[in-house]
Amino acid sequence: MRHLSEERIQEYLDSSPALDRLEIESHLLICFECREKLEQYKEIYGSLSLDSVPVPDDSFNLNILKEIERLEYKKASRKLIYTISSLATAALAMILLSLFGILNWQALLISVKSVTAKLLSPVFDTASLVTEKLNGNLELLAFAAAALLLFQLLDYGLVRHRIKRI
Amino acid sequence: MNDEHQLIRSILEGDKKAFSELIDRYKRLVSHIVFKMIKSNEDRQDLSQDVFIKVYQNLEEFNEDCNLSSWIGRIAYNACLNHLGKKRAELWDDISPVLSIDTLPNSDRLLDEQIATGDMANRLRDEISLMPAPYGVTIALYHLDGLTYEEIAEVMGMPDGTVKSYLFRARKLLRERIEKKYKLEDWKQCGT
Repeated sequence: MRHLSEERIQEYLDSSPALDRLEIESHLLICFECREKLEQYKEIYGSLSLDSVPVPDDSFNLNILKEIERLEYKKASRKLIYTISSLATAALAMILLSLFGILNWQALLISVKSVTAKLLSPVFDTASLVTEKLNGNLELLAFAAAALLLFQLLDYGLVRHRIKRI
Repeated sequence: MNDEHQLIRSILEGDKKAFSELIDRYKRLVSHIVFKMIKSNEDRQDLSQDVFIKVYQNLEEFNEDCNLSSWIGRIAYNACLNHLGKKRAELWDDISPVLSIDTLPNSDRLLDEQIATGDMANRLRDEISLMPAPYGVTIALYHLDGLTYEEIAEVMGMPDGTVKSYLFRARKLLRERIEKKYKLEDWKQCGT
């Protein structure tokens, strides 16, 4: 008599749809050896479903949420520092260029305006107005830098607000 | 939109409780993978935590047509492999078609101790710990988490047939090792 392979016994217990269950059951009725193996596998299957590892408690969740908040805060801080330092570098470069007479803000604004006048005329009208009112390169730079800084701070504030909600 | 998709949306909108709920749903699955792959208790705790941080950071990229448990399982499994670094190669060295009962470390001492405790589940747990880690992972995912061959294959990044083969060989080894030490009657006494 040909015995059932261990794979077929396991497939029988796994309820494999490809298996001819009737054929297996007929064999099991007349074969003590295969029946014994089946019982052994049943014991193993039953015990394997009882095996468990310690599952972390609620403090695990809290630690993860705290760590996420810390990482988000760190990321936002890094972004702010990067933005401030970039702005400071750009402002310094512009100031130096203006001081040495390499960059003429009024001329630059006029030439840019002529190219993009149709698309951005309202923006440059405002810019020209501001330039006229401030009447000086450094004042304009300071104004632009302050506006950007304010925007970044607002953005940073929104990120912080989002982190608090998490 | 099902409950799981709603949960993901809530997390992406910044809902703290929703992410805590996701952790509750999947920490058992992650623990099963991490505990089977990593030996050090301290590393297990840190790694499980890192897995959920990665899940949070990458949730935006999750494709909702995919299975969330497989996706999280995959992150956990890859995190374990990365943690093992150079040692990961050793995991696969042990898995060869000729792996047999004689190639596993002897656990007679453990088995003798367990006769006294009479606990088949503990006996099997120790036997599994002596096997190559991926065997333990496939057994845990199949028998404890109820994942299908396809889902386990997705987690472990291998073909379905390989997963089926691991499971078959692992359970065969378990049966042979237990049979070598005990008769069926003893098994039943221990199992009850």
